[in-house]
Amino acid sequence: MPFPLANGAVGIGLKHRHAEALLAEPQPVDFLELHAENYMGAGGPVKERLHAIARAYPLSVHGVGMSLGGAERPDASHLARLVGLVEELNPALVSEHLAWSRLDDDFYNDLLPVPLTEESLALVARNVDIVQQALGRRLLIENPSLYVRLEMNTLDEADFLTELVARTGCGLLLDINNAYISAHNLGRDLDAYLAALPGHAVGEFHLAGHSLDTAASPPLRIDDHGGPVCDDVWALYARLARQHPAVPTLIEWDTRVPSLDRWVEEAERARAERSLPVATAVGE
Amino acid sequence: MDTLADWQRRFIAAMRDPATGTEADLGQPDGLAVYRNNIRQSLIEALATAFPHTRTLLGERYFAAAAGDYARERPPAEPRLMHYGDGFADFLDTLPPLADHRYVSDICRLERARLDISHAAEAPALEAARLAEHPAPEGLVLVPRPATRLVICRHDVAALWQRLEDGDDPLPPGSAGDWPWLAVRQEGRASLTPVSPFTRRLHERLDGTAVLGEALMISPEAGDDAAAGEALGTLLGLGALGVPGEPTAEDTP
Repeated sequence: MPFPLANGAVGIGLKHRHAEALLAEPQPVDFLELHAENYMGAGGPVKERLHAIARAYPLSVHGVGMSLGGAERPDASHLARLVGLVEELNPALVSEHLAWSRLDDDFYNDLLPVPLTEESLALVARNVDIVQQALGRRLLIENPSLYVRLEMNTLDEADFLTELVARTGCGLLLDINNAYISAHNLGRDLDAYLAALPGHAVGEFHLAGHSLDTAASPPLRIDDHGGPVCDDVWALYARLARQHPAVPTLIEWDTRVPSLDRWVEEAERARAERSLPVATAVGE
Repeated sequence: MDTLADWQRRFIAAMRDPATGTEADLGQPDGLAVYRNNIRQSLIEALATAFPHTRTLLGERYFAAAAGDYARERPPAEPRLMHYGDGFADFLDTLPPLADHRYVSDICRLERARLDISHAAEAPALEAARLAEHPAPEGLVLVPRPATRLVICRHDVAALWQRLEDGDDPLPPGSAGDWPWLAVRQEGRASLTPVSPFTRRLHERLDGTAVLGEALMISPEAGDDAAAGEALGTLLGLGALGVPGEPTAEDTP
């Protein structure tokens, strides 16, 4: 059995540089989330440390390379490696993205946008099914941060995710920062988007920092995970976390990675935010 | 309307070449540029993490340019970026400005070997004492452990490698020629060691098909048994050989 997560658990990402400190003394975090692809080597010291960490902390395995939003089926070798890692670690959560990154045997190292059509929905549902069958457990699917509006979309993203949940039984990893970024970049009504998501399926929140590219026209918010969570996203989180008090929260920080103490501080703020009085909606 | 696969192919063409990404249904140019930059920059950073000494030798700007060209020509075949860049040293060899600096790709190959062994499967090393106790060691089929790589450098870069490891200013490489190295991880620690031509040949002959007695006949015409024995001692001392009869895990699952 995986370590169970406490209601409203708050976790941080796992980085190689923090592994020793995490093992040296227990840190005040409820779980650690790791990027699956960074730990898919066959052996070695990184893998050894990971196993030690898995004995000390509950884990969440977050995949970034399954390309669920592509027309191709999930790569069998990569899927086998993910299954192996999940069997090794027995994590509390396993998640992936509504995105694609593989085409014709090449891998493009980003989370590329999925056209939201009936064809895509059928293919993503097929791919999520394949992965869930192989894992023998529910997958959480993360909403994307987007930089382009796709003319060929025939479905809203919230409707797409709602139908995906209904067809596959997957859960939703609600990345609040991504929702905020996409709303800004696409001119989307953020409150309407959040209200239309299948709230019952939310199995994890993600929070992260982002930057603003003012050279773009119009300026774009960039999901770089390179700083603290912004105040608007905290306000959204306070509201959503009260609606879903049991859902665990992960603070991401993947570039300009801070000290472990600073990251733990950000996790402490998440605990504080969810216990504040209900915040008003952004823009109200 | 395009199928998803057709649209994805056009999207990737736009990622590779901004001039082809002009169709409105792919998205707005500034937004496409974000994805294009993310793909390129993340791969440059992956290569910089994998090859820090190569980056030191080339300088940050030239390294970024070369890594960016490599990323465009040879995108990863899979999402595990720890394995990305296995052809980077060969790619550097094709760059005309480096024609007189081929030792750079020697350093790059050593860094690649170190990274490969750091993620390779565990397998116990054969100890010399255990081999000595065997009643008929010449009949054993020995194999290199998974966490072992043989690298053939084309210059004597031992002193240069050490300075790079120590964070000192680089110095010119030594003489050209074949300079074999063995990279071995044992008990979590990676070591990279220049080895003799005899050691190289013995390592190459221990490929899982020859018994030890045959493999040790490295240079029968020279009758150099002492050198062959020394080579075996080097391989055992470095922990490069696997235990006979005990299966080793595959390098990649």
